[in-house]
Amino acid sequence: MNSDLLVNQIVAKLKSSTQVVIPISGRLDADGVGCALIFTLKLRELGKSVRCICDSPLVFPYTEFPGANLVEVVDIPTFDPGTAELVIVTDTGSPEKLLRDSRPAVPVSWPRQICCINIDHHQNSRFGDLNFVDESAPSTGFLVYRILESLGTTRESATLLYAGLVGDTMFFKSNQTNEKTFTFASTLLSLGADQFTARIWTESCSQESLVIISDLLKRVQFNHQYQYASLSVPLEYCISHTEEDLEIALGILKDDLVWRIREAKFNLTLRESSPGFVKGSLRGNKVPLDLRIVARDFDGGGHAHGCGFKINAPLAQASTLVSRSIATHYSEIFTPPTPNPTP
Amino acid sequence: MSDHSPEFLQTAAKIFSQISSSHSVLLHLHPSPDADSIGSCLSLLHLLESLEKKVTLIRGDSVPGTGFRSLPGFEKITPLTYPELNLAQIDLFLILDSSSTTNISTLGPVKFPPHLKTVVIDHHPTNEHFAQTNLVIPHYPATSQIIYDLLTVWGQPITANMAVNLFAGIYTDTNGFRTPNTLPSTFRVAAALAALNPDFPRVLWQLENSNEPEKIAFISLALSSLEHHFNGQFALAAISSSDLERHHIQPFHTDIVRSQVADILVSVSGWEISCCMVELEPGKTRAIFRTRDSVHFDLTKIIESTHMGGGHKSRAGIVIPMPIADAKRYLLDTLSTTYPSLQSS
Repeated sequence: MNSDLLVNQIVAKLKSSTQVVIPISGRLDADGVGCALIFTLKLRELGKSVRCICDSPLVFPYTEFPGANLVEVVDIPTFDPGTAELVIVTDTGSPEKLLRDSRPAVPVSWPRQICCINIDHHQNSRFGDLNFVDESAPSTGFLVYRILESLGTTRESATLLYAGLVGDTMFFKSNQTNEKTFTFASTLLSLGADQFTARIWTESCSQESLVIISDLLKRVQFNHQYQYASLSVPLEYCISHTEEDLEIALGILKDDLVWRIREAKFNLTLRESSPGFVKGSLRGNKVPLDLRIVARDFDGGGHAHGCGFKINAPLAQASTLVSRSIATHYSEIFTPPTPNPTP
Repeated sequence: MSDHSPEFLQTAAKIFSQISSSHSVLLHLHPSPDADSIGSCLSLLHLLESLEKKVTLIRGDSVPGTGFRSLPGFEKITPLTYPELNLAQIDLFLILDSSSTTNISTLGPVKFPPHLKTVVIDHHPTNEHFAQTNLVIPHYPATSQIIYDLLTVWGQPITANMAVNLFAGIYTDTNGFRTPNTLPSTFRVAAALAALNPDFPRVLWQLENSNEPEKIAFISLALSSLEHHFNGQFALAAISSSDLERHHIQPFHTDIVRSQVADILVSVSGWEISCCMVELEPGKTRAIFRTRDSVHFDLTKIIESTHMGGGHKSRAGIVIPMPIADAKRYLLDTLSTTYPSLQSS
């Protein structure tokens, strides 16, 4: 469907609905949380009854986002949407990804009579009734802005969109950054987006996070055969720090510091967040390598250059499984050519 | 209609006239060159060559990092310092991204022979306007953005190679579009440059992905050395030359990552000023500063009071000719006199 037509349909649906449920993506990030809160604030301003729900409590920096006080923490799989007519899901590849990261996957659905608007820039299962999905978009906010153009943009929403944009493009260096990304950034600044606040939201960390970074840098290992850096964080380390500090530290490590190692074509992070349960993430963007083929082996997904997955296994076993998957998929890419025999 | 001031247009015309009337043009990289120095010079090198000028781009005092090799034209940089040059055959010196003659060379006195026309194009607020023609625009986030505007005003085509050099300069001098002087116009220029060379993420990758394991070891060492002063508002990572030696880290391994450490420290709420201080050799200590609040803690004031470096309101660097312990004391004294509010907080 033509995207202008789709945007018009979404705008019409937003205007005609009176009771709306807006779940926040389980993998909290500035783009996902920001888009959900933008819709929450805008629809409330238009007089709608809105419930913004999340499977886990928000942590810093999302607690600082405008509208964060409106978020209800609920058990998403058993949540009763009542008489809601509309669900808006943003930045979420499939309904199951509305569950918090540390939770084993269970099916998520809502009654068929409720219309679902699905807006995303990830690999997406097109689970909505109206699916505005564009994998080439630099952020989901980039798509949400198309809708806001018809509803009105505030300085607050411009700042949220800017935070989502810089977060998802790793400050404009991902492969999805292009001319349109910069034009969008320019528009957001012209609308009054507060760059400083957006940077605090996306890059601020606690002193404890720095201690964790310093600790974990010493654990980074390098796989010479497949040219990747890996970091495994055992359960005992995870439980000795707060989730918030650890999350921020790991974000800085995988998206920035470890990413910078010249020899590493990509990096792998494994974190045993509860006994026998490991969260994994892959970051690349250096060579044309679709990391999702590894993530898919464990029912994960995301972007070609940055994706995640979960494994129900202890850390050592999960590490072996992922190493095997990498070896299977990338053996041809990373195996040096056999030299011609000397005649 | 042009957005530029009459003064900008007048100086731009004068500079282009000087380029047009010259045969041999000199460009240089400033000491410890960054992508703004290299990118702005390389983009002008490409232009000058297209105008059939004889161009000499000298490396200057420092050896540029390996990450810059991806910038188109990098191989044309001549491994000479300013004092080694024979200036007799050069008639125009375009001095880019340099706020004083010490940014041309610190290896000897910097003198301009009478026949040499000199032009400064820079964005540092600390610029000393030391050339015959000075185009200094402190509110620009990068010299490369000034060059972009000059090229536009001059009506000169911007090739893909020129575009990616300018993009790299703007990207790095805004710290990846993070500094407060990143404006809507900065992104408009970035959009135009990205359209001219969509391959810029690969070049950025090369620029940023040149770390040796020693650099990561340095970050870990620096973060482990944290100190706090002035009620926690000043965070300092200080590494001595003996620390470096003990961890098998060479001083050149600390290039660029010194700034990364300062960036990481200033990301902590409440740490208003950060500094990464490294004793590069006994008796010579480099300090890199960042601030979260350039209104209350304008870092150019440190430059003004020490005369030991250069920089901007939110990012600056100095070289203190002292061993690290003395340099630390000197720095804390300087901070307390420069920013009385640190004392009273």
